[in-house]
Amino acid sequence: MAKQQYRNRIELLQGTLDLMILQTLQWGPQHGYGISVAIRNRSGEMLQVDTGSLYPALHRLEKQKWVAAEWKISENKQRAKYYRLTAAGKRQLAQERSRWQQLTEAIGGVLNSAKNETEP
Amino acid sequence: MNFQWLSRKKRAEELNEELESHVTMAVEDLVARGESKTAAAQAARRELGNFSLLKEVTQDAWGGRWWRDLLEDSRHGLRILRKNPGFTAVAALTLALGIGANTAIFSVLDSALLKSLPVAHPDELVVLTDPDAHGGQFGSQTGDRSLLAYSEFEYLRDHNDLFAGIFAADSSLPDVEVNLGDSSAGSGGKKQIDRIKLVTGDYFAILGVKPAAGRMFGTEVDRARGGSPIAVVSYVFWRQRFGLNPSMLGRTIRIRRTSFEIVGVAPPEFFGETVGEAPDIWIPMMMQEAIYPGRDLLSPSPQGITNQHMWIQVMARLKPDIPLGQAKTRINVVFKRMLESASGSAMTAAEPRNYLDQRLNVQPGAHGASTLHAGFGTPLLFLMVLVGLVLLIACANVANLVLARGAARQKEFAMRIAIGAGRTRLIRQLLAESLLLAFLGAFAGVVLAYWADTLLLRVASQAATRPGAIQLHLIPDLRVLGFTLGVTVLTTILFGLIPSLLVTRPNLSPVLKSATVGVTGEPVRRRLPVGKMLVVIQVAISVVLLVAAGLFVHSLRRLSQVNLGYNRENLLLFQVNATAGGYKGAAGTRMYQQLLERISAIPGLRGATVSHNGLFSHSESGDPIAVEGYTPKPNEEMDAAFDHVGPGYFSTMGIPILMGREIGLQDSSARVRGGVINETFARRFFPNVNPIGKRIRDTYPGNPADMEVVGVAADAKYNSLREETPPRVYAPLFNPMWEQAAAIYEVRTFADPSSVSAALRKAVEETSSSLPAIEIHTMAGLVDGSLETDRFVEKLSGAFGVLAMLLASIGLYGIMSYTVASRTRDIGIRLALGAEKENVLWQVLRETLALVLIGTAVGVPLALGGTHLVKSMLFGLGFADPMAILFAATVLALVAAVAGFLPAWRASQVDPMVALRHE
Repeated sequence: MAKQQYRNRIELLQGTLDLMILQTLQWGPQHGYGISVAIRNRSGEMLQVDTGSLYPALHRLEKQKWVAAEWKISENKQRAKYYRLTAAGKRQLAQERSRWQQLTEAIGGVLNSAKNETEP
Repeated sequence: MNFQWLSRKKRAEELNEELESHVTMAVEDLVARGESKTAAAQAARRELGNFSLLKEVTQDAWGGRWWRDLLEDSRHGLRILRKNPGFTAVAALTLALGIGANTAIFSVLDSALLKSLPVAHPDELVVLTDPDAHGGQFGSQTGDRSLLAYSEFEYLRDHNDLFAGIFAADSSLPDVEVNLGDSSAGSGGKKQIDRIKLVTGDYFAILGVKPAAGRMFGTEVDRARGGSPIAVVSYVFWRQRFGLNPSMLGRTIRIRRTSFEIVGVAPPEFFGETVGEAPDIWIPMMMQEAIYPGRDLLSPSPQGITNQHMWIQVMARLKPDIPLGQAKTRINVVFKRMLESASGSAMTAAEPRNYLDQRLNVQPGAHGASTLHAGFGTPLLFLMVLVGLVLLIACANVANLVLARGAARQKEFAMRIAIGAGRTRLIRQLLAESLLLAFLGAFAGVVLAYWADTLLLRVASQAATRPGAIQLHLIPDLRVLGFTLGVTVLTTILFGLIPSLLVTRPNLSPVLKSATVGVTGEPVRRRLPVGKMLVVIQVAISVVLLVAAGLFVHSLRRLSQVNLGYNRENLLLFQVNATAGGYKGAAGTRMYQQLLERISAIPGLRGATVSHNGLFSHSESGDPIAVEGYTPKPNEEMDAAFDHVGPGYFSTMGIPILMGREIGLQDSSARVRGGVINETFARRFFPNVNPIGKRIRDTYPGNPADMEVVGVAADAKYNSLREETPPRVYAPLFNPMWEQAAAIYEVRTFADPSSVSAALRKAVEETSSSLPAIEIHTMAGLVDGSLETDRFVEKLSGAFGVLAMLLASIGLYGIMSYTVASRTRDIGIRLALGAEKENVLWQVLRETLALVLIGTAVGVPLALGGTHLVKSMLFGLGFADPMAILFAATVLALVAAVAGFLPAWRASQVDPMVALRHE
């Protein structure tokens, strides 16, 4: 039962979560906690990234070679694993962004036309 | 550093550290926002969620899940198996028996029938003669040729451009006396009997066989007759006689009367072109005289092309651009041309039609020729089926064992399902356990199979008339191992899948709640029928196997009781070869007479006689005939079997004379040749007429002969207990219709036959010192020898029947023990309420017998159906042989009683107080 929940959450966010992680890393290498904070802030506290989805996503991205990881000392003098975007990751990010753009335009088109129809 | 290259363990550690650092940072942020340290720690951890689940899901992203699971399952499985040595041992042993038996029979089947010759590119080889034909034929043939004459082979060889190579080999493998010379090293001066194969020069070259030492001979040996006294020996010969000493090359050995130089050794796995044979020495065919002295088997027969001596197998290698079909057509054109050029004025008008109607049936030769295919083909397949059934029983046993163990592990599975394991995952794990068990069993089984095969071959060879008659190299090859693997996987599915499905059925709460499964009853009761059904199946299959065994025992007994038509007691036979001793024509006949007189003078003999074909000596003669007063119907074949016998043959052999008289001394010189016919002949050709005095003519072209009937004898079995007696004509040996190259003496003694052997040998030597040494056989021995295949099948089916019964009884015992154990409380209650112990015992026994009864009821119709299929192998049995079925049913009932008794006894001995407290 519990496992099902995780799966569903990951699936819902998988495409978009990957996109947001890659975008966040665009602005420089970051560790997992930092990425979740960044996404929370940048979305205006709307998107709280569930840790249970974040780390699987990060490791998956690493397996795909879109990000690369390195252990470094963080701001508060602790060891943390920093992720950075690779060249392939950059290309993937651009692709995902354009796909997202197309998707939003398409949905927007449907919503706008509907709006027009229902207006008197 | 690239994360991916780290070991799994290191990666897990790193992930741990990563997640810990995440938590630390989260806590710091929360504290900075004003939370207390403890509250922050709690919140951070809670946010993380299920730590171990998170780690697992992340690790999934690393991939290789499937492989990891398999390793984990295997390790877990090994642990489980180790913790239950009793279960593991019994299950593995049962599987070892089942898989081992299958592998053993299959590897014999593989060696005998399936494997290709150990030569280069066996798929390019073809056989032009009949691969199952052996020995020699004298005369002619129509239709597909079994064997060829040497002159015919020469013609094909010289007029062929469509094969890459063509060679000939003797179709028999004679045992010949070989003297290893008298030098010091090796085995000096010893004489032994070795198997010699005559082959043409390019035999080794065409087969693509390279020598293990020395060199092979080539086409130069085909040039001159008797010109190349060289030999190639087998690897076993080199090892056994000379201990792999390289000094053997160049040494001379003496084969019969000719010295041969050993020039080379064949590779270890090479056994020639015939499966089932393993020659010790190969010598060039041009040296034929040394092996078959006094005969010329290489020149065309002087008695005309219809009286050829056909004795060789011919094989060839196809050219890459000429496929089999084309080669067959073209070589037959060549063959036809040869026949046409040979025939001519020597034949009458009707003969050419028959003579020209001969063909070469060119077949794929990857399996070479075979001495085993004809006799052992069907029995081996039948044994494969039997052994497959044994495997089913074994699987059923193990399945029951697994079920019983599964029941004990119910709680473990329920727990695991409750905390989130998928059912598929559990089933996969159980299957992995089963696979491990199966592999364990298979490993032991392969070892068992190797040992069993050696035993098997020894049993089969012992039963044959000549020890070592069946030669097979049972080297486990890929096909056998592949078969074993396939069988192992199959057995795993059979015994592992159903229990796995049953045991992981999600009916959890009663299991988790109750202390024992038996009390609530639900899961147990649902599982028991499966266990009982398995036992019923086991019993049914055992019935089939026992019935099969019984049938074969019965069939063999009937066979050995078949009336031969003559008395086989105290009868010795040995062959004397006139041509080998240098006798020709009338001189041979005179020599036979002299020898017979000398033998008859030996004291202590009840009788002595001689005949051409002997009995059960693999020899037969036949010719077309014309009978006075009998008009053949249209398309009726006028043929009869023949034999030439000496005076007093019938009385010595104990064959009753039904009319007239037997062949006597007067027939040796009578003007009109007198002959005796057998009952079948009289019935067929003289149905309502007195045959005495009528004339019979042998109408074989080129050798017509007449005779007058002087007597009618009862039918006699000549070469096989199963044969249908043909019409037969007996002519006097001392006034023969054609030259007798060899004759077989039959000597009847009063008591122990072996006491006369020395005297017989002396008599032969005194008659003529040029005759080769004789081999003396007993009639009883020869007849038994003809039953070797039947005895082989009988022994094995008996062994399998016993094995099946053993396994089934173990299964019965197991299921009844389990039943009793799971019903201990019920039994205890019943005993406490006053039931008699005997009643309890009887009730359990009754249940056992009920299972056996159902099993028998299911098994008997299956057995009957199966019997119908193998009728060809059985002798003289009706459709439903009641004896065998009764025997099987009785045995099983007894076995059931014994197997069920112990659990029943234990049930009756249950102490009610203990039982009531039983968990």
